[in-house]
Amino acid sequence: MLAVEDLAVSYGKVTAVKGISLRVGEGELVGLIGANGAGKSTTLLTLSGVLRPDRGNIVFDGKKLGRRTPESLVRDGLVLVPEGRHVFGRLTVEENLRLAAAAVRSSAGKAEDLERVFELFPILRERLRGYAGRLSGGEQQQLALARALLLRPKLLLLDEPSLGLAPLLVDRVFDTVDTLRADGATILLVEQNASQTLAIADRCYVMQAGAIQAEGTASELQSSDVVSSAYLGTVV
Amino acid sequence: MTRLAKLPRAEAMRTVSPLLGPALLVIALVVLSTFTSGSTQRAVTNGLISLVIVIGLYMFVGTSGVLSFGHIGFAAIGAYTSALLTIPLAVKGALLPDLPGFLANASMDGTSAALIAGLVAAIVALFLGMAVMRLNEISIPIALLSFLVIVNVVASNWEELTRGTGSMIGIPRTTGLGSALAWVLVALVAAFLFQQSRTGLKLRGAREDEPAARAAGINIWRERVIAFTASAFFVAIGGNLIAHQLGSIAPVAFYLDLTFTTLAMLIIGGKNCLAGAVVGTFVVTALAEILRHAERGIEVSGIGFGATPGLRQVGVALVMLACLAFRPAGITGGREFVFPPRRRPKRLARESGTGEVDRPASGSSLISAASPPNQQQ
Repeated sequence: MLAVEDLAVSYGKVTAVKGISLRVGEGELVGLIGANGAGKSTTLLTLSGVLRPDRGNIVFDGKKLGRRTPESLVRDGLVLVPEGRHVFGRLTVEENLRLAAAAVRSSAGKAEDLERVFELFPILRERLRGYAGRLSGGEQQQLALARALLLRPKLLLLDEPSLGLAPLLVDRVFDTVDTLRADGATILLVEQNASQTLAIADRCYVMQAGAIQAEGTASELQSSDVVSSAYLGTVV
Repeated sequence: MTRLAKLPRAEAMRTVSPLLGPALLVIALVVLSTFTSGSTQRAVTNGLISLVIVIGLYMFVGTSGVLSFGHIGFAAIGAYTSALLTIPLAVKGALLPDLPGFLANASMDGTSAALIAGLVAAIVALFLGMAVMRLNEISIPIALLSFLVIVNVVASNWEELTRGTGSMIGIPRTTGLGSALAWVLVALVAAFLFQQSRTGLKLRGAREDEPAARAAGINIWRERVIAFTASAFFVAIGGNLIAHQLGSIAPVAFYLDLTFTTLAMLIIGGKNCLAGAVVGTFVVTALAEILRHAERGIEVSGIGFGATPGLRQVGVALVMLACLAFRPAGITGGREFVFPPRRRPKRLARESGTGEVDRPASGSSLISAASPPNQQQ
């Protein structure tokens, strides 16, 4: 579904991502974990077209991505849920959802899409006519996810969905991601929360200082000490 | 997703009330004013004309959140286009002997001329917008100010077409209370439908959160160009109404003074909602009218002051300053008129809905940034 080769991104003179390669297969839930400043979000923003890479290849759904805008990538099914629960605060929950649905060209199946979203996030149905800005943090995260799902993603890029949520809600976010995967979604999940990401992901990449330090399944990574060293900064 | 017929009656009412409320308010004011003197009626007509311009301005500024200092340029385009199309042929021949043939012989009724005036402005806006809307939201207002300057300079110097800084006279004075009201209602309906449309919704989304809007597949440039074009149409209609109210126009009538007044109306009322455009126009028109009388000097039971030219502009500017300082979202607070009012969700229902207590959205990222990342043993 997604193949990244030798991707490098910099902000001015600071190189944030130093030539990484990763791969996400169809139906896979792949984690990208690492401490603050490892370059995880930069990677996601580049994949979704917000940032321009210095070099490297991105192949998505069999097509090589050149200079594409985020909105055109969304139409091809590459959907990012940005970090920090971006909802349209002064629009109602319903308007937030309509907005996402408006980006989908064909009208067939939109009602079913909506039903599925309400099944996943029943609270949104109750809050339909309330302002999105009035929702709690957890509810806003659900709305942001719901909006992304209405865009019919082929690949969902999630940027730290558990950030800033109370522990119980963090569990629920991971449960939701797990449910989506069970439904057949392809997901690249960026997280600082390594243990919970390892628990649900098929495979994980461990990122440190702009480079990928390790790759493997949860059990492979847990048996080595590469994850803890990536966070604590000790030499492997 | 929403069909009015499917909604419960109160909810259907709430959906259309942002249109009905302002429309009924305007109609009521006009009906009341028919019982008053001619000068009051003229003031009300002025207010209605301003309202057409302000609603047009709202369609871009309100929905997109991007300011514009250039829209009055479209009012000028509308006024001159409509004037050239309606001035009686004999007058036009004497006034503007060097007009190109198709304009020299053009003579049409007011409504067709108004529509053509709107279309001409919309076409200019389409091309201007395609270039300018690529800029960021800080640069767009400045770029549009440049457009206003260009329009003004062209109108002041294109002697063959506009008589330069001299007045264009002989425009049929067809704008009255009735025609101004009719255009206000058309503009209100258009603006209401526009803000409910996909483009309106997408723009309001982008206004709230640009990164999220792009992540939701919104091409902000495209939506802004559409809004800009539609908005220019109605501002030009407003300019056309001014021309047909005064009977004579000069470039100076469509410049910084009118730009400031119309922006003040929108901002004082609350630029993020249609109700704000209406309330702001009403308040500023009333205020300006009172101050205009005061400019000539006031005396109340022996105490008073003499004529104070400029009181009107200074007064409106002070109200705008006060508004920006104390009520930045405007008198309406950016909320549409919604009737019957919606009850706030009960706290109890909210907690049983989620089952947990959650941290508020604001500041939560700070909390997580301060806490150490989870570690793998």
